[in-house]
Order: sequence, then structure tokens, then C-alpha cells
Amino acid sequence: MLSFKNVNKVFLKGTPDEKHALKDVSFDIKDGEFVTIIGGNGSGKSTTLNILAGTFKPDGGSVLLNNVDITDINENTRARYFSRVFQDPRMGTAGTMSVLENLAIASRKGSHRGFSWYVSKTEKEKYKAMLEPLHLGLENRLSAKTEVLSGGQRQALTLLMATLRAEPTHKQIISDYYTFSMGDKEQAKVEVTNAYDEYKNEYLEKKNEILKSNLSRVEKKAKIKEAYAEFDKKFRKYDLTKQILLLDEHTAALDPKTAKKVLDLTNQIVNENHLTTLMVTHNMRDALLYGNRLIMFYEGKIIHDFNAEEKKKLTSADLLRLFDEADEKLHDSEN
Amino acid sequence: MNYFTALFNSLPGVVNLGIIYGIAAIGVFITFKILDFADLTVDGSFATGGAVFAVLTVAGVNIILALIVAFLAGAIAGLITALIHCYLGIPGILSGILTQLMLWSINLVILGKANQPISSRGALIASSSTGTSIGILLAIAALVVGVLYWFFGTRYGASVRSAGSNPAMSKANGISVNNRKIIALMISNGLVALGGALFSQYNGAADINNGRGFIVIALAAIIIGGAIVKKWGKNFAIQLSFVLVGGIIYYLVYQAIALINGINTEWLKMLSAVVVVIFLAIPYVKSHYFADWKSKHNRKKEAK
Repeated sequence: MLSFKNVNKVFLKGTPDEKHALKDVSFDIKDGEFVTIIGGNGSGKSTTLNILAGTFKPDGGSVLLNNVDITDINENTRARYFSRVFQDPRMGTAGTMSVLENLAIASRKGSHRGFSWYVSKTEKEKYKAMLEPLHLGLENRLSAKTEVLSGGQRQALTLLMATLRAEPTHKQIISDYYTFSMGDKEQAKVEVTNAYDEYKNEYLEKKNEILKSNLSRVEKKAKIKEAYAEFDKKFRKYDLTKQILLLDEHTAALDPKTAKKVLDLTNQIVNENHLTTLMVTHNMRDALLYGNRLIMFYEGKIIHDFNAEEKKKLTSADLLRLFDEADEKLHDSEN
Repeated sequence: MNYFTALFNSLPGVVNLGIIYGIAAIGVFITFKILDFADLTVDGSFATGGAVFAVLTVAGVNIILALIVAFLAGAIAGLITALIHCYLGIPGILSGILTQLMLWSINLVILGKANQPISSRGALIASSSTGTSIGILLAIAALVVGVLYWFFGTRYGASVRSAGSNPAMSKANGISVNNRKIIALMISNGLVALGGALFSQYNGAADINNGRGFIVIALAAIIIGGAIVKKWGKNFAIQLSFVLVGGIIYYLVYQAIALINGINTEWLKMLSAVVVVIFLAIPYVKSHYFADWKSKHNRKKEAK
């Protein structure tokens, strides 16, 4: 669960241009929710995403991930939990680097970057297989610099990169499991360490058996590798962390046809990976068409929050009317 | 004919100095091209490398060790620029200038005077033995290119490149941009100082003024090398190697001008700046004025 607790953000504090971008905003977003966010310019939508990602620090309030305060965790450390696609297609990829290099960089997100070669042969094949279903021909342009790609291609690539991250280590899985456990943390710690010890002992026993057997050295090595993979797979079900997708008007700079293509791809990726997603958009139709929750921002506040059922009944005209009502209310209070 | 004989005779020296400047210019390549950071520390760290090297060899320290220490001294200079920039919020170009100014004092303290002669005994390279010097310098250059090719090809190195290419994207992918800037500036200035040390060794003296205008030479080497390499593909090792070629070409042009009869040596700095202006301007002139002229010409042709 992702939460805002009374978050405030003021830009240019103490100057005539002071702007109260977020006023005491609170919300909870459950795992797997696909939230679309609408609101006028300067209503606080993008500020919300930037505070979630850690680009801005709030002036008050806190950001919680599964009830754990992550407000003070800086942007690059937080990247382990958040993936972003920006409005400007040039923002999401390193322009002077190749498609392959960009994917390789994203795939190490949240992990230590060592001194092994940036990409392996198996990884290269994996990326090719990931690019093929996009039907953009990128699988044959792995060494092309992303600055020569079209906006649509770059956004699609950024989306793909957003789904990539480094597999957490066993140590990270254990610590994440109890840090982000919603229940009793002590109990969770015991649970996860016990499970780890149990699986590990299983693996070690198997390994001993294999070593004692009279197989050839090569066979032994292969069998041990197999046993380890099994152990690893079993333990990974304790991996709680999943990327939360932050999409900041990511189709605004694209032509309508390409925008539709990128949005469909977004929808597909979100559904396939069951990603918690926040999508800011200016397009009312898209906001209604995609996602299963809709949040409406107005002057730094959330004025409406529709769940999946309510959202189905809404039309673009309804949303416009709600914005007009908010305008009138503001004028009344000012007069 | 006398002029050409003189130029021809100076060729071995030109190649030596070209490679030395080229090695140091590879350092600038890291900040200028990879990090997208105009680092002016290098005028100072080039002289620092020479100063540290001179003091150590005069004290009898092993030459290889002295080169390594010179590299480290340059790396520290780069670290200072990086810290001023990353943690005190001073713009990159100003951070470099400030460190360069600090280094002027520090270099004087290290050297103890404005000029320190170095004994040529046991020297790896010297202007008196240009043949062996070229071999040794090429070996050092190959080592530098090889190590950098490996480094920037690793996962860590790739993250340094992305931090220079797109800081926002890098942060979003969990890369600490400040950390990468620090590393890149340290390696860069380390190489510049290594070049400065080799320069002092070759000339047999370290001078407080050695680094003055070095950034201009380095940029010239990078631009000239880049202009040639465009037709040669985009392999990183080749790009780096052509910085060395750029260094040699720059020095050849410089020498060709310096050897002109009756030229006043006071004008050499002016001339080297003009040479760089010309090389830097070529791509712009080509893509703007020349393209305009060409398109006008073509349209006229079609109209006929």
C-alpha cells in the first residue's frame, strides 16, 4: 500500500510567486490499483508524482510504503520501488546510449552495479524477446542510440525499462519482507528467516548428497546449480517488492495514433505484471478508459476520488461539469 | 626548402608531445564528452602532475611510482572540483576555475619555486631519445585506452555514462549522479596529471606555467580526433585512440606555424587559440553557412 499523509508542498516560499502546490493531501493506494489522475495545470498532479519518486521533498506530511515512512529516502535509493515514465520522451532514456545499454542500465535498478560487462549474451536475447511484441522493430536496432528513435519508440522503450529491475538478493528479500510487512514486524522477521533457513538447509542437504554420489564432476556441478535454482525460486515468493509505475502525462507529446499505441502497451504491461500504477493525464477519455480508480486534483487538493464502480458510470462530460462546479465554488468563496 | 627540412626533423618530437597531450586530452574527453561537464580544473592539474612528479623523482623515488602518485594527485584535484560542485551547489564551470586557482598556490608549494629541473638519469622518456620515447608513450597510451574501454563497458562504467547523458533518467534508475560525477572527475584529472608528469619528464623540467592553456589543446585534440573518427565508426576504443591522433595533428599544425621564419614566440598562444577556433568552427560552418549556400545553389539550379 502506498500512502500520502497530510502532504504539503509550497514552491518559492516567501516570495510573491509563492505557490501552494499541495494542501494537506492524503490518500491510500492499494497494491495492484491502476489510478488515473486528472486536474488542471498547477493542480498538484505532477508534484504528487515527483514527491512519490523522491524528486521533491514535501514541506510537511509523509509518504508511506506499506506504513513505512519513506519520505527521507532519496530519489536514487527509492528507484528500487518506483519506475517512472516522463512526459518528455527524451527524459526517459539516455539519448547518447544504445537501446541495449539503456535496457541493461534499467535491469540493474535497485542493485549494486559491479565491474562485470554491462550486458551478457543471455540478457541480450532476453531483451530482444521483450522488444519483439512491441512491433516497433527495436529488436533489430539494439545498437541504435535512443536519440535517433521517434518519440513513440522512446516512450515504449521507457515503459519496458520501467518493468525491469535487478532481482533482489536474498538478504534484501528478507529485510524487505519484515520492513514492509503490514502486520507484526517481529513475527514477520521470524517467519521469513525460518523459511530461508529451512529452504537453505534443504539445498545444502541436497548438495551434500550430490557431492557424495559417484557422478562425474561436470554432472555434479550441473545438479548443484539446479538445486540452487530450485531453492532460489522457492524463496522468491517472499519477495514483497514490486515496482510502482509512475506515469506523468507520458503520451502528451505523442501524435494521437502513437499515443493510443503507447497507452495500450501501458495497459498490457500493467495488467500482465499486476503493477500498482499512477497515471497523470490531461485526456479525460483516457482517464476513464484506463485504470480502476480515478482521482481528481483541483488547486492542490483532491476533490473527487472514484472507485472502479463509480468510474464506469462517469463520462467526460461529467468530469468537465465537476471541474466547473469546483471553479464556481472557488469564485464564491473568493467573493 | 629549409622550412620543410626543419619541420620534418621536428616530427619525432611532435609525435611525442602529441601523444603526451593526447593522453591528458583523453582525461578531458571523459568530462567533456562523457560527463558533459566543462571542467577547467585541468589547467591546474596538468601542472600539479608535473610538480608532484618532479619533486618525487628529484627525491629519488622510482619513476613508475612517481607517475602513479602524480595520477593520484590529479585525482584529488578532480575530487575537490566534484565536491565543490556536487555538495556546495556551485556551477561546474566555476567549480573548475576555483580549483584551478587553488592549484596555482598548491603547485607553487609543491615545487617550492617556479621551475624544477628533472635529471634525465633513468628517465623513461626524453626529448633526446625520441625513438624509444614514442614506443614507451604508445605503450602507456594503449594501457590507458584499454583500461578505460574496459571500465566504461562495465555495469558501473555504463552508469557513469548514463549519469552524463541523462541525469534525470539515471536517478530514476537508481544511480547516484553525484557519486558518478565524483568518479569521472577523479579519473579525468588523474589522467591529465599523468600527462603533465610525462610532459615534465620529456622536457626535463616541471614548470608552474606548464598547464596554462592546456584545456584549449585538449579540446583541439578531441575535436580534431572526433572529426576524423566520424568516418571510422563509433567504437569507444577507437574514439579514445583518435584523441591521441588529434593531439598529434594539433601539435603538428602548431609546430608548422612556430617554425615559420621570424615568427614572434609571444604570438604562439594567440595562434594556438586561433587554430582551435578554426577546428571548433568547422562543423558549425559546414552545417550552417555551407548548407545554406548549397541549398541556395541547388534551388537556383532547379529554377533553371
